[in-house]
Amino acid sequence: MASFPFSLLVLACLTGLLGLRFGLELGLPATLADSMEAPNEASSAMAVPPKPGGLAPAGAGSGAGDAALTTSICEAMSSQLQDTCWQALARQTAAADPEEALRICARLGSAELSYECQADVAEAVAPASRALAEELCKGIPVVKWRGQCHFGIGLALAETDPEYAIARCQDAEAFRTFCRHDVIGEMAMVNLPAAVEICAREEGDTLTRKTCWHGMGKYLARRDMSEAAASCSQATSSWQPLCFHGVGWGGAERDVDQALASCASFGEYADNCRHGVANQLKRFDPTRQLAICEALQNSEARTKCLAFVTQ
Amino acid sequence: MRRMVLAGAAILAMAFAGVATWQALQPPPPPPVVPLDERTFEQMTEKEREDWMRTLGYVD
Repeated sequence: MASFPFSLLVLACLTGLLGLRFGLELGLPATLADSMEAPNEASSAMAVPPKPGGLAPAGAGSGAGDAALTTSICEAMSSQLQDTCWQALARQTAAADPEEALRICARLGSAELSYECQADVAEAVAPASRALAEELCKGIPVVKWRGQCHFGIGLALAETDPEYAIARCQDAEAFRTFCRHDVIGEMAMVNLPAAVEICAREEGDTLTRKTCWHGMGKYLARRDMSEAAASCSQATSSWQPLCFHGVGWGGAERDVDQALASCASFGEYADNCRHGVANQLKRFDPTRQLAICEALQNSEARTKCLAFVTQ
Repeated sequence: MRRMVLAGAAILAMAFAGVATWQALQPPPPPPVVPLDERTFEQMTEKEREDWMRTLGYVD
């Protein structure tokens, strides 16, 4: 009986502490926990669109795709090279025999490679059968390769059917804006009026509209910077500086010194063009990138240029 | 003897409650970071897209 108050004390301690523990848990989501989650949502891993340039034509380029491949050639290869061989063989086969190409894709060593292979097959069959190509894309369960698949169809049809090609970008998921940029760029190379007409509609959010004009300038500059600069004059006036940024980037991909010389002839847009050259140098020559940024006279371009140096 | 058992139980209870309270105060583990290219268009913020695009030469 004498120990009853002590037992009561123990019980009170236990109840109090457990109450504190669950009370804190209930109270946390609205305060501390919320404020701690916010930075994590903003963080992200940087990734690169798998094939922004689209699918290389079968038999073009170097490597396993050069020669006419056969199943027996791939089977005879070492295990390290076999997947590359299967992928090249699937691309080579796709236009003539899509079903066989898909069977080849199924032989790849990982699901990821198999989805990539299916996206390649869809891109290759798209000019002949859009319905089949779209069906193949829909069958890919991974969002990344499904998006890439529609992106590829857009690129495949950019030169021949601008409206259909740009519409495919809507399903390109994370690559939607990349797709619009590249499809417009490919289109501009053969059909500038169609590219201008699509960009002039000013569809989508700001970024979507911006990247449209950028793609036109960049792709044309890869061929001829003067031609690209002339095309920028057809851009919506507020996006002309952006188009010239694309011209600078595209020109710098070929020859940095020549690109800077051409930029100097672009009058009020010369610094936008130089800004594009500087951004393109980020991965290859950051010292020169910084020097170009610091020399810019256009304050907006200079600010953006310098911010990208440290991004 | 009985008091000793009760005192031991009280210490254990306090230790348990202390650990549980400490756990409750810890920030929740960060959600797994999904790479940008594995998201849908709607799962990206405009800033994430813009930074990504700038890096790759798709915008100024």
